[in-house]
Amino acid sequence: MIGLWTLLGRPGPERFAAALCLSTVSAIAGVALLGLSGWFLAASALAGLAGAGAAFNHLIPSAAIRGLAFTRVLARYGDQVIGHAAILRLSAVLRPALFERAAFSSSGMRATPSGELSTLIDDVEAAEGGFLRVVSPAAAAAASALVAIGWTTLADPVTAWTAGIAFMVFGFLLPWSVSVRTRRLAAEAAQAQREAREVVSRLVENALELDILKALDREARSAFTRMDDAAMAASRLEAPHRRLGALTSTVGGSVAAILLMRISGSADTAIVAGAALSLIAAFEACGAMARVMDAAPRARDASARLLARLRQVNDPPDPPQGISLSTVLPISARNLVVSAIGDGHATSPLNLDCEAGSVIEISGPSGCGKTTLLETLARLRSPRSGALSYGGHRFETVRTAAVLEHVALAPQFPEFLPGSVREALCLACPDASDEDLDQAIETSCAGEFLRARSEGLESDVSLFSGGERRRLAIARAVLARPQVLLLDEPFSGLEPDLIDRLGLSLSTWIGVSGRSIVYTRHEPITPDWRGVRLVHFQLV
Amino acid sequence: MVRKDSKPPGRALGRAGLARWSRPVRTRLVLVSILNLAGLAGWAGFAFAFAEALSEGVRGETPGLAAGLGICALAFRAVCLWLSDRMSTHAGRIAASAARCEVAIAFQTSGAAFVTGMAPGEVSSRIVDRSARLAGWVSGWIPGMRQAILGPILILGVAASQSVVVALILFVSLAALPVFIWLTASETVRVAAAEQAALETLAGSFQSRTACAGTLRAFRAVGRERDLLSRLCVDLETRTLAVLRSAFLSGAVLEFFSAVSVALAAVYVGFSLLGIFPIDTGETLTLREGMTLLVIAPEFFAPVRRLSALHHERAAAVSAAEVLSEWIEKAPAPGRRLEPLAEAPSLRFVQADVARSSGRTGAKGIDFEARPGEIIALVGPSGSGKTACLLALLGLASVERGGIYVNGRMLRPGESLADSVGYVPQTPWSGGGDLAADLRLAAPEAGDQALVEALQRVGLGHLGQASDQGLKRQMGRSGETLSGGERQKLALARILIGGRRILLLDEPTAHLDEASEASFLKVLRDLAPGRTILLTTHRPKSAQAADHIVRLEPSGGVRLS
Repeated sequence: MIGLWTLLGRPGPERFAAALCLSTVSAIAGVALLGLSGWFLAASALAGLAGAGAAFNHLIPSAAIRGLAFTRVLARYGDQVIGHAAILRLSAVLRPALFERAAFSSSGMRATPSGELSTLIDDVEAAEGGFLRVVSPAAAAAASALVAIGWTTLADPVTAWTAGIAFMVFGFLLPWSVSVRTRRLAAEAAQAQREAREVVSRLVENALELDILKALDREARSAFTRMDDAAMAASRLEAPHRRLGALTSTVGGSVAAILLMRISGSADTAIVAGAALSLIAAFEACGAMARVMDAAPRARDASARLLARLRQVNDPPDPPQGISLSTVLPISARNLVVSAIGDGHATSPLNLDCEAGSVIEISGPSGCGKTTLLETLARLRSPRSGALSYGGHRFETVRTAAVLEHVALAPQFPEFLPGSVREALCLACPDASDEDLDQAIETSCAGEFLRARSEGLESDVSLFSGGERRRLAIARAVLARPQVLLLDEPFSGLEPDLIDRLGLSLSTWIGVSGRSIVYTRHEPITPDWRGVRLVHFQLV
Repeated sequence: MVRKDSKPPGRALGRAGLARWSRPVRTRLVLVSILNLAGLAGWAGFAFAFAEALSEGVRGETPGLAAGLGICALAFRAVCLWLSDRMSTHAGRIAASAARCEVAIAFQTSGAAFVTGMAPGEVSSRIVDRSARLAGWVSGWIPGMRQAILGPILILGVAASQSVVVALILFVSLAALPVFIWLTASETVRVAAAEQAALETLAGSFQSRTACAGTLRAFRAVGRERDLLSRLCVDLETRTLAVLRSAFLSGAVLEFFSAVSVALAAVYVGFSLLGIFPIDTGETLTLREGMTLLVIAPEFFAPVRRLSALHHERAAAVSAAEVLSEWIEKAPAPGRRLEPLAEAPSLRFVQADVARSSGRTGAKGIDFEARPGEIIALVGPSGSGKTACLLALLGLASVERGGIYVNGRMLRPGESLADSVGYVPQTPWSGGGDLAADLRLAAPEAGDQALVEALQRVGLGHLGQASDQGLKRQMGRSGETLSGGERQKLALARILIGGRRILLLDEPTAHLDEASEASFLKVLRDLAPGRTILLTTHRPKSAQAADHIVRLEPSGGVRLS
């Protein structure tokens, strides 16, 4: 956790320190309040018995008792508020940093798989919660224990040792072993829960079929029995955490009783009374350690995973000194071989020159690497072998950002941030005017379906079908004002006349000097390109 | 004035549901409360013993007996709390199970109509997640609430036996107790809501950006979006902190009273012992009494503080109870199943407007006839009412206009042909047992020979052969030991065994590859004689295999230009 915090530049150090400090202070004040009260009572009684009641200095202890009560309340409040503030500060640095790393280390334009994403979100929450759930309560429990042990040492060193060992066993070892056992059981309970959920989902999905077969009632009952079993397994997990609290407070009281037995009649009965009460209070506070021990490994593992993510390097690597490109054309590939995964399927070597005014068509069966090739041309992936250059500059000497200034890609299955069509398109060019937008929309033939919606550009981008999204992605790429437009399967699934219209408007787009298009196709359909130099490559 | 019956019906139903589901565990919950109180009494016993031991120590005696009794009292308390926890968890499970039992009964009485028209994910989450939350109400909230009321009274009694003044100090706080309970309740709900809202906003924007990180990079928008995310986080920090600052305050008030009452009691007792308390209270305290008070005083507020941790569970349980009991309450009446038809019927839709439920848009003006031996394909975009047409034959969709005629007789509302129908969905049911059990679902009394013959007729003859474990073949948890095509054919075999004369197939080929689709359609064609078959599909090949194609147009949605 500390490694993660350090890597992020130690955000909010004063908040974390203050929260930790306050949580410790509040714990100490709680133990001291009871201990001092006990001491004060016993001392007063002794003074009263000796007839020295009036001479006893009662002002300082009674003021201290009141002071500790206020300190405890204020420190607890401060600890909660500042602790949350510290977490929010951490979160404000952690999340953007994680996002940035995810972006620069992701190969291509593929969406992050949902499984990976949900692990990431869980990790972020576990790591962020680590401070409030682990560090802060553990520090408080340790501080309580130390105060009580210190006080007990004044009264009787032997009992102090006993108390110390009892703290180790019941505040640390036992919760730790419980959490180890719980983690093992948790896997089984989660499995039972998953299975029960699966059975119920299938029951619900097939309810109609089962009803017709007159088997719904029976299957529902059997599914619900499964759920009862799963609930049983889950409740077994929670129980030890709650029950441990009763155990630690029993131990605390017992240690206090032992202390009283051992040192009867000693001179310092008041100190003994205080020590005994502080032990009771401190053991009560240690009841929280079960939850701490449970949360600790989860927070640690999550932090380690996030740390590994934050240490990922850019892919493809950028040179330390970037050069600015006035043009990326021509893009030349010599013996270029690409593959989606390290040692997966690779393309045959390709020699290609993408020059101004040319349209390059790449065809091949699905899975042969067409998408990967486009992503490599946009410098979003490293080629496996061969040479690639942009305007005469080698792939290794230019930065991805410099290439992307002149190259835009429209994927086959595009991703958009939630929001309106306008926002989705403006990703490519935040200061685009309405005319720019209209032009881009016309070029991609997206106008026809956008006009059919009453909200037009303000329609929610998630409402559109796959084919419509693809054309919105083309409009977005056009809006980036690239020299080279990379289009992944722009024509697949379109009606013949739409293919021709899209081909025609893209021909018009390329008519402006210094532009070029590279596109892929799976089906043997080629639109009617007008006035362009069409080069065809077959990928295998 | 707000009358009780003017509350939203959901809330009243929820309360009634909670009462009903916790009824079987009423006695158990009383026992739990007794155990909790006994635990508290154990703590009071410890306080007495501890104070006695201390005062014996002051007198110079060895407090062996008193200390021993104190440890015994603590052990007794631990046993009580352990038993009460065990019992209350069990009670929670029973209550959740009772709620699920009602859901099972609704399935029994309403059949599939209970879940028709609802998103399957939502139904599963109700059954699995919502019902589980009810346990917290019974195991946590009810005992906690009772303890929060009875516990302080017990402590007050013990305190009064030692010192009337200290009891009075505590009593003043007791009067404010309902306020505290309410305060912590609203606090917990607000903290939870604030944290939840904060997390959702943040998680949402972080998640969507990370999900399409590659795209944002390709448009050189990473820096921009990162800054936006930072700004969102900072915004959120400011807003959340403001809420939390005031939300934690009410918790602090409770802490304040708890800490101050201990301090006040200690100072009062100390001053009395010294004989310097300025007012004559008419009581002379001993060290033993004072120490007893000091040990039990923190327990006065403890149950209320524990209760604040349970408010979240309470809120979750109440909302779950509302959803569940409203759902169960509104379970529709089941369709009236008509006698099984011995021969394939003619099914005729005459200018029928069909909708999943009344008031919702569905298919309009449907007009076709399916004759015995024919396959009719219903095609059209999602939402055009294809499935509603099938459901109408099962009494699960309403016919708003026109009618459906079976052999010339009009199907009345609520009438269902279920007993004559064989139904094949996208993914047919498999019980997770063996092949024979799956096949016998429709006809439990069918002999092995009939099963094998049915398998042969649908082209799955190899499955019935002994070499491949035969009919005892295990199907796996959801039938995954078979391919998608085989599972669809198995569903057909099941229908053959059941002797159903109408076949309704809802996108049966959606998950199949082209070869499996072709093979399935061939089997379907073989089965057509002597049956009336309706199938819905998106796939051109499946539609072309039918005798007639009925195209449905989406009736909802207005296209503006």
